[in-house]
Amino acid sequence: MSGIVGTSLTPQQKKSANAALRAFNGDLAATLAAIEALAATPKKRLKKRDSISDEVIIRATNVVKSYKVGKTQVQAVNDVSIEVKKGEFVALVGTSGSGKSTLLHLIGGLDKPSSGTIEVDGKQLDALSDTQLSKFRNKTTGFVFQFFYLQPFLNLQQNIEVPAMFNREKRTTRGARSTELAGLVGLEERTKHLPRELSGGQMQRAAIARAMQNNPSIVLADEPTGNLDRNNAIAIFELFQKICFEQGTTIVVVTHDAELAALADRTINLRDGAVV
Amino acid sequence: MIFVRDALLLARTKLRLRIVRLSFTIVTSALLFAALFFAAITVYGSTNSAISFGKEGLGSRFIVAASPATYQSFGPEDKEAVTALTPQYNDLVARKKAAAKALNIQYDPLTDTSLPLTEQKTQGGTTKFINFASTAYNDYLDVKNNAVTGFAYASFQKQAKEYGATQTFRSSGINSSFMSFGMPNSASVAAIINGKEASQNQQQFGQPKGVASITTLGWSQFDDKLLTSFLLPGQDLSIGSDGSIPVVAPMSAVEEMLGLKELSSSATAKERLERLVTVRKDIVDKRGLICYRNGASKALFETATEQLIQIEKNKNTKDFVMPALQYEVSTTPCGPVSVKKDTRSAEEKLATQNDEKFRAQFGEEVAPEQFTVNIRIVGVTSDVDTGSAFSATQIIQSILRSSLGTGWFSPSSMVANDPKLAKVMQTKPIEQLPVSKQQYFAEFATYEQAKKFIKETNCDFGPAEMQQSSIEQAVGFPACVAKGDFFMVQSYGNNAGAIEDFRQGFWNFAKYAGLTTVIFAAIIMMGNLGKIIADSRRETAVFRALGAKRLDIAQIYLTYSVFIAILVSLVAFVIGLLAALFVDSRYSPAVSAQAVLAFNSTDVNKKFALFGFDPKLIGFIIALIFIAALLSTLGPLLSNLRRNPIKDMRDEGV
Repeated sequence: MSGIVGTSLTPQQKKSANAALRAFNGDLAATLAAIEALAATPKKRLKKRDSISDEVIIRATNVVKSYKVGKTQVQAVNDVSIEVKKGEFVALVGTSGSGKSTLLHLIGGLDKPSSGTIEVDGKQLDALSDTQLSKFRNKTTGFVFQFFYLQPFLNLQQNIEVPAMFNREKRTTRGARSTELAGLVGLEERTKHLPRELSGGQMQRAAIARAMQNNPSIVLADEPTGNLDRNNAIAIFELFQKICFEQGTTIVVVTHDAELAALADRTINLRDGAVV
Repeated sequence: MIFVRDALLLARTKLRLRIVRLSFTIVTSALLFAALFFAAITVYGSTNSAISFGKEGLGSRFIVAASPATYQSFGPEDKEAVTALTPQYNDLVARKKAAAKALNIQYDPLTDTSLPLTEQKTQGGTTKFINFASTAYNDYLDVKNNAVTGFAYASFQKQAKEYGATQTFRSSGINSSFMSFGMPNSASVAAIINGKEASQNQQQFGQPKGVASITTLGWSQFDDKLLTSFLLPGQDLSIGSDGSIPVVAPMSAVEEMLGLKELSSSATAKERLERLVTVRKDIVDKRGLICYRNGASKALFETATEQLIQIEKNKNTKDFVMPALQYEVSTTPCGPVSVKKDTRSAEEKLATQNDEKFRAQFGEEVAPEQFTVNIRIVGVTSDVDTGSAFSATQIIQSILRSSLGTGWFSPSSMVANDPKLAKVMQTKPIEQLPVSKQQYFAEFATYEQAKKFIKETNCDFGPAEMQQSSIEQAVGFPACVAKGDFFMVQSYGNNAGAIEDFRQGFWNFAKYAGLTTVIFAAIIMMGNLGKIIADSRRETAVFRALGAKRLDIAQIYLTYSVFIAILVSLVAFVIGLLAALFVDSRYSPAVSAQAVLAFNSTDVNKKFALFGFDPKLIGFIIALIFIAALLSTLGPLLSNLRRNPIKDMRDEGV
């Protein structure tokens, strides 16, 4: 058997399928299970909304970001101008090195553009001081990372509350919010557990709850499913949909998975740092 | 800034990272600070105990001793002295030659040890040297020194008073063969033990101990006020109903008088204390006898004793010729030496008579005189420790020693009132003795006053003056006199000053040792904290993404360093405490015994603790630990805060 070569599959799907086939030694049940996982697709797609607010919450204008890698000048983002409306679920799609993560960091105020302007929730980010930017990241945005980055020695509830700690919120106030969020992400029974006692999908859901702790206007997620299996990846995107559609939170997700990106209201494709 | 409680929560999680490295860091840093804790606890405990014990004995009295910086020849060729003594020498030689001729006896000035100068043939002819032991030379010095009014006791009293001295004292040696070593026919005292005079040769080589020490170390008169500090419970300084003279003697002498064998240096604390209790109980009303012999008696006694030894030794030797004049030593202690058999010719007898006449003519005491003085031990002082201290106990004991000085002591008030003692004292009351034979004391209310007095009035001639001094010319002492520093001054009687200095100095030491420890500990901790913070770059980036300000990050790491400081403090304190407890339990009993003896404590069970807490000092060390921890955090933290969180995230593959 030479392996799965179908062109309709993503590289990850091909990799998983090939691994399953290599492991096949006559165990038909295992092979069928692998193929079933491979074939998994979003089962419960929420309907896209018919109308989204016209209010622009993110506006990037002629943004350029370049930096040096050794002696080479790299143009990570090249004259990008985009707008994201309030309550919109946007996926930034592109191949590795296309500049999607850099653009997300610029929108999140973690980095400053080399040129161009970024306005988020009415704030011109390049005009903000370091402290103001910290406040902006704390209150206006919520970050979700590929590798979750939960504190290993804090329990789930404490992890969710970390952004509230930086906002000097009292324990009682933030406790109620974190309990509510744990319920929203389906982890209400695991609040006293440490991250190592959770699965990857559960950890990412906890990370999403953490991003939501300060009730931000925007959630920025950088490859949130990159470290998850297919079922969990779908579940995470469904969670984003839920947050976006039910709570009106703007979601900007970086992904290279076109199928998952399709669950967003809109897809912005990037290639070599430019929107295509 | 985030809430302290949240900073504690976030910082605490880091304690679980790199447990082995963290433990190593904490233990090594703690060991450095444990040494400081140990020193602080031990020093504070021991100085406190010393002060507590010092309330008895001389421990808490700030006394300085001053010896007049009198003129002394630096060498036997001191030109000034030789020139001054030459006329006297020439006159004496001429007179002695004439007297010898008249008495028909042989006289050779080159063998005469009583002349002020001795003549020796050298390449360039004959050279005259000073005879340091001669009466004439000592008289020359007395005249020269007594002429300096600054050396007088009254001058010392005035000067001491200006520096705030509360009282002044004087002492002088009564009699001592040690002090008059080399003087021809000098008088001597010896203790009588088991019906015999304890002579110097009965002593062990080295440390003068036991009753024989009175001969070597001397018997001094001391101001009553000083001696009272060394009285045993229930004793006083008055003359006994039997006329006995009160004496403060070294411990080993008292033990010998009681028939007790000296304890070995390895004796346990319990044995030492038991011995002390025994000595104190048994010495009450214990009398002793001291034999006084004038120069003639001493010389005759020594000759007779030596003769008896030789006769006994040669009793079976056929060729041994018995001396023509045989002596007999009295069986009564301190008795006279009598003639047992005299087979000398009439010429020999006449020659001896003429020789005695000749010596008497030139001031020598030729009639033997001896008698006993009844003494009563009223106090005990430490023995002289001439050996080096090797063990920790010995070192501590030598620091604690509270002593009057070397030898045996009786109150000055006895001198004027006891005619027998006045004879032993060889004539003069203390105020009439030459300044060179006197020692002055001044007592101050505070150590600072005593220290100032020593610093400002001590005759301190430096190496330059010492170099200029030669065998031909003395410069050092005259240099002091010229400056108006008439006395050699030093602290006396106890180590109260040294203890005070030590206590004050320990703060200075603690500052420097603390600084050094902080630097080393900070370097060690920096290794760990630097690694922890470096490992936390991604976490810092995540916190920054979640809205943490730079100050919040700093707060978390500083809180972490506080945790480290607390852990280091705890471990260091426990180690230091255990070490101090060990030292206390190991050495305190022995030191307590020594302190009870040294300070003449009335309570023999009094403990000399080597253990105590000075909250200020402990707090200072804890503060040092915190400083070290915070210092070690600053560098890595600032470097971390300056980093770009995006770069750290990118490096981590986000």
